[in-house]
Amino acid sequence: MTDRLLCGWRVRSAVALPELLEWQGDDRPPDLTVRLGAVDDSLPGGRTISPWLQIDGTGTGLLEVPMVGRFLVQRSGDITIAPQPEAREAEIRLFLLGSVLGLVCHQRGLLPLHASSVVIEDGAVAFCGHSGMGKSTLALRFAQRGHAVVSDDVCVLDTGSPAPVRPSFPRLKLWRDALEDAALPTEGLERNRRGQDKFHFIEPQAGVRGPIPLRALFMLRRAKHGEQEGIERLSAPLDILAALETGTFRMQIGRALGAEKALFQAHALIAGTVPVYTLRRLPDAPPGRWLDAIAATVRG
Amino acid sequence: MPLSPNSEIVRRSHPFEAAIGDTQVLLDVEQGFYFGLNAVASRIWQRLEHPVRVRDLCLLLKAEYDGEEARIDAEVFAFLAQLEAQNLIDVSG
Repeated sequence: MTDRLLCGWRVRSAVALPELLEWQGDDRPPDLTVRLGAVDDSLPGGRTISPWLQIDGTGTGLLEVPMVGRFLVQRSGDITIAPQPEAREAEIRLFLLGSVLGLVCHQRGLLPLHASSVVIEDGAVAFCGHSGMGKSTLALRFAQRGHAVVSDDVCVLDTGSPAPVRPSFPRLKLWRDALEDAALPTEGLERNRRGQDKFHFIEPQAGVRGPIPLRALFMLRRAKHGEQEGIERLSAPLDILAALETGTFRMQIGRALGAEKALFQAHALIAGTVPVYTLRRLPDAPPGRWLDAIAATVRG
Repeated sequence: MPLSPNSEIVRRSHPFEAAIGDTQVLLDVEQGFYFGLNAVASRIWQRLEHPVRVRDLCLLLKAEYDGEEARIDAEVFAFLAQLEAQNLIDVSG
């Protein structure tokens, strides 16, 4: 099977990963190797970080996802997956390219933001927010206007200066209504989880291969009753840091792996160099409504 | 320990520190909070790297900044009390 590209890494995987671009780089050995094999249900010396995750003293993580499988993730980049018999491939990929990717970032001192991102004006613009806030839907709408998709769900940043984004892959996870609103059929698309009305949409536009600068960050918020919709730039450093901490993918895993200082420095670097905005929208705001305003804000 | 002009102050070692624009930000990892220092507060924080008496610190600031002396004293005391409450400094004497 052809090696793939993920966040600048060469990935050799026993599980097909059609959402990733093909590796076209040098003939280096793989940075990440994904195998199928037996994985014990407990990690010797492991501490429980969350109901699904244990981490041991060497930084190895064991992720156990009910009805999907176990993922043993070593700092070396060796990943072993023991799937449950009923697991679908799409579900295994979902956790491999989500939770496991976040864990690998924390192991390597990178900053994973819980964000979808697209290219605007030669830089990555990230939409950060909790699940259900419309990150992927915004990315889809920009993709339909010809913007390349940089990441979905986990947007990976280097912690050096200036912090570039390492593009992940051009796959978006979208609910049926988001696809239908965008006049896209769900036929032929893989389901995210069994019985879930959410689908994997691979953006036909070419993804992005090399690192690109982070141009702007939008924290997606829901306008509460009586609040105005709108885009507002955060200016107080502590507000920006708090927003970035909230926007970091599984911050507690980074802490457990001793990456706290790298994360703090990365947050501070972004706070000092990249504009961070809140985008407050009403729950029923049409997804296309803020695209022009976002693009205009990024262009300045 | 109550702060007095004779108190000697020194900052605790604080590995997580970064400048964001004009603001110096400290992260207290154990307690999980951020502390933002404006330009004057950052100057005081720098000076607290080595032990200094409160009285001498006030004199130094009066020499560096314009302002009513009593007000500078009051603000320095208030700021130090805040730092002490957050366990960011050691107070002796």
